[in-house]
Amino acid sequence: MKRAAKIVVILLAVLSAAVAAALLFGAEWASPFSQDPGQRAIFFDIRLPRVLLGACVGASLAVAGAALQALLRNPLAEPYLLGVSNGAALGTMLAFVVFGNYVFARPLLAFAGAAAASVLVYSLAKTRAGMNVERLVLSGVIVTTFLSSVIIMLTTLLDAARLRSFTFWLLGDLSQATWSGVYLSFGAAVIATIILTSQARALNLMMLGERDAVDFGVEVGRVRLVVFGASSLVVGAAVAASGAVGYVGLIVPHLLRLAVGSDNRIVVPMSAIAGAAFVVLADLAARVAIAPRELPVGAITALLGAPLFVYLLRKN
Amino acid sequence: MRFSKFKRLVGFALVLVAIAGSSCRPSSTDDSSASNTRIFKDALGRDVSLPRDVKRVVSLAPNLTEIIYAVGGGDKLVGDTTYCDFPEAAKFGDTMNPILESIIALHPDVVFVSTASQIEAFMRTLAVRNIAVYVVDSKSVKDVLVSMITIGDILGTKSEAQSAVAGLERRIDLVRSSVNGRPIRRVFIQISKEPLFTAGHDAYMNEAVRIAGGDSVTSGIPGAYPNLSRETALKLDPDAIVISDNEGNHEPNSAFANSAAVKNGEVFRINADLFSRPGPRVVDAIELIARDLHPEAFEPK
Amino acid sequence: MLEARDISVKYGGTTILADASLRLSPGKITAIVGANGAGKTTLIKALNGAVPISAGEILLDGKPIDSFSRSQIAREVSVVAQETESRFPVTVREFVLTGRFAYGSPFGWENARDIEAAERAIADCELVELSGRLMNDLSGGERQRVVLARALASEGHVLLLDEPTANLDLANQTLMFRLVLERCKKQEYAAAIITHDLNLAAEFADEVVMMAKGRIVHSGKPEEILNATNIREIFSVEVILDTNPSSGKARVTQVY
Repeated sequence: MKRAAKIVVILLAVLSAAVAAALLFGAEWASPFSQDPGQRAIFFDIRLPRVLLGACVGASLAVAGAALQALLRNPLAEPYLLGVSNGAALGTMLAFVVFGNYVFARPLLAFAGAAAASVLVYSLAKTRAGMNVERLVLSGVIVTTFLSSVIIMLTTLLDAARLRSFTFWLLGDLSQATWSGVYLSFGAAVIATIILTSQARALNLMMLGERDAVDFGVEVGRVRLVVFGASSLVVGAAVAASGAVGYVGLIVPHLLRLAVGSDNRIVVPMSAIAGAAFVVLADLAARVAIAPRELPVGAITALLGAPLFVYLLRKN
Repeated sequence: MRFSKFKRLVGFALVLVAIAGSSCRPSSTDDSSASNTRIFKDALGRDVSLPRDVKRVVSLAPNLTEIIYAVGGGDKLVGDTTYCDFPEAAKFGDTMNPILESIIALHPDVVFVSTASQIEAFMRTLAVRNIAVYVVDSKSVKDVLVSMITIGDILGTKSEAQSAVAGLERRIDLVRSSVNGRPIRRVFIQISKEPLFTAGHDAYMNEAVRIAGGDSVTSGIPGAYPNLSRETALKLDPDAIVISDNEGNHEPNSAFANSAAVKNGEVFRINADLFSRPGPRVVDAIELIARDLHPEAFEPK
Repeated sequence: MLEARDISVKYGGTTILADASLRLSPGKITAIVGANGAGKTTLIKALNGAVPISAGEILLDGKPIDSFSRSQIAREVSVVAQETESRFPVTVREFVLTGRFAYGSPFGWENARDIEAAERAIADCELVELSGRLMNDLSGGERQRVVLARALASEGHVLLLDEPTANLDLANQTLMFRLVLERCKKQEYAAAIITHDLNLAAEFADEVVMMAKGRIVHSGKPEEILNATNIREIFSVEVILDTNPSSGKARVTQVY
């Protein structure tokens, strides 16, 4: 318990530092205490919601990744690679096209898309003998690339009103952060972290073997439903606000496990904090690297995550 | 070029259309006699050998289609793309055909492409069949006018081209003189609303705005269509915003909510086809923008 | 304690277990033997309710097993399956502690009782020196001992073991059976062990159950059941039977 407390403190400190740095730097000089209303506007209307959204999206994707990895017994599982993020993106796109202005349609359809993708990948990967790594990775890659193609096709062919460019959807982009997006994403992240942490003890068992989990008292079917459900919810909210930011769910839990072990009671909630810090810093890089031009935040996370994915794949 | 259409061309939705029922005539492959051909240097620096008498022409870019009609070569156009929507006559109908085979089946004397068409991959295949490919790349208004003359020359309508160009130059000069001496407006060119894209240093539109009496505040940013930080957009505080109007880009990005441009209602929309195609209609865009930026210069006295 | 009455298990349209009856009582070790695919594992899985039955009933302490939650069952019945490698870094101690799942609440942490049970299991299985090591750093045999320790840590009075000695050397095999024996005799546990080793079965089991093609074909005391005829029938091999000089129990020797 004491160890867990120490980890919380360290991670919270890292997150605070990351947020502070992200608020300090940007394409323009902007201080919240400035007399210049322009600087204050930049800070409060553009930079602050963006940094907060980055934190919420990072927390969401990392916590979902941590839980999915334990559930699927696979350190390579994460919302982007499993096609869940792209499913959410597709759902949100359809919400744009069909429901246009109705802001609530987006996270709802994002959730539906994420859930559908989860179910699809899970059923493709399952065999009579159970799940295995290769099948899961393969199914995930198939579903995610297929959905990417659909997204590209829709953006080029439909070109419907307000449809954002596919770099937004496929790479993730925090530039259009709004306060309502922040509130929604924050709420989803908090709820999902609590729910997923409640399953952490069960996940500790499931991570070691689904059969064993049943034998030791885990209601496996229920845990699966809850974890898939909560993950889809939180990924849906994140993607609806910022597109499909990739690899966060992969990098953060993995690094965390290397540092603190595999106990999900620690890894799951701490992934949320660490994930928040990670995306805040990645977005900082995206904003200042070629200022005043911007890179999509997903480009940075992919640059870091893809090599890590390859490394993990080879280690497995 | 209009940004999203630009992408579409670059993507895999490029479609070739042929006049229904047009009879195919084999193009002359006999270039043994030098006097039957002329050499033109294209935008890539290639020496392209073309027959003196060009009868059948394919265009793979909407701006080039417009130029072909503007210089009087419209009746020689046997194939273009579904994006070629101006003038009306350019809209042939729609069949989906694999692009390479369609081009070959039409037996054109020359295929006009812009650098945006990106058909480097099959330029070799066309060359093998002695189908000439002529690349046009207009980076400025002057380039457009020059290319009109060249294309007119190729199509044997040089004098028509020259008078068309002269007419355009007169209109440009009129705009220049009308706005001359007036305070130059600080203009933000918005190519896409969300995410926010603008015209960078290599973009074609900055010049149009300059001629119209404005200064594109983002013309110093490297690249053609940079994804701009909203912080910078807010800081720039332009006094006019010109929106390259197409689907998804009708309103200014919310970063401009408190800008001088939005507060004073100085938000202007120019049809993206006019604004972003390097073709004769850019002059229409220039005139429209000039009237928006300096309305008092065009009021009847 | 744990009883199966005429149970059948179907998968798809195929019956993989039919009319099986078995009773596990405190202090008794039951060995389950048979060729591969005879339905032994299915029987074990049905016994703790992990696999649904299509006919018959399973009774735990006299009540139908469906009336218990999975947690309640887990506190009464512990399963030892084959060890597998984990893709996540887990220490021996953490692994054994997961066996206490059924005793805790969702957001709970281990209490003193849990730790005590885990430490005792680790000591019994002679794993104290290895308790801080990562599971993946251990040999297959050592991991199997840890799996046993986890089952013991959950303190279920019925032990179901599915080929627990498959990867173990002689010393470890004997250790495993001895531990089960001790629990059964001293703490009134009941145990069912699937094994391929007929000699170990003869040595330690109070009852032997022979299975073939999804059915229990013979069951009874080892000295009665383990004869050349039955073994030929179940395993299609020729054996000679005599007595182990040191223990007096039956000894099975294969004729090659």
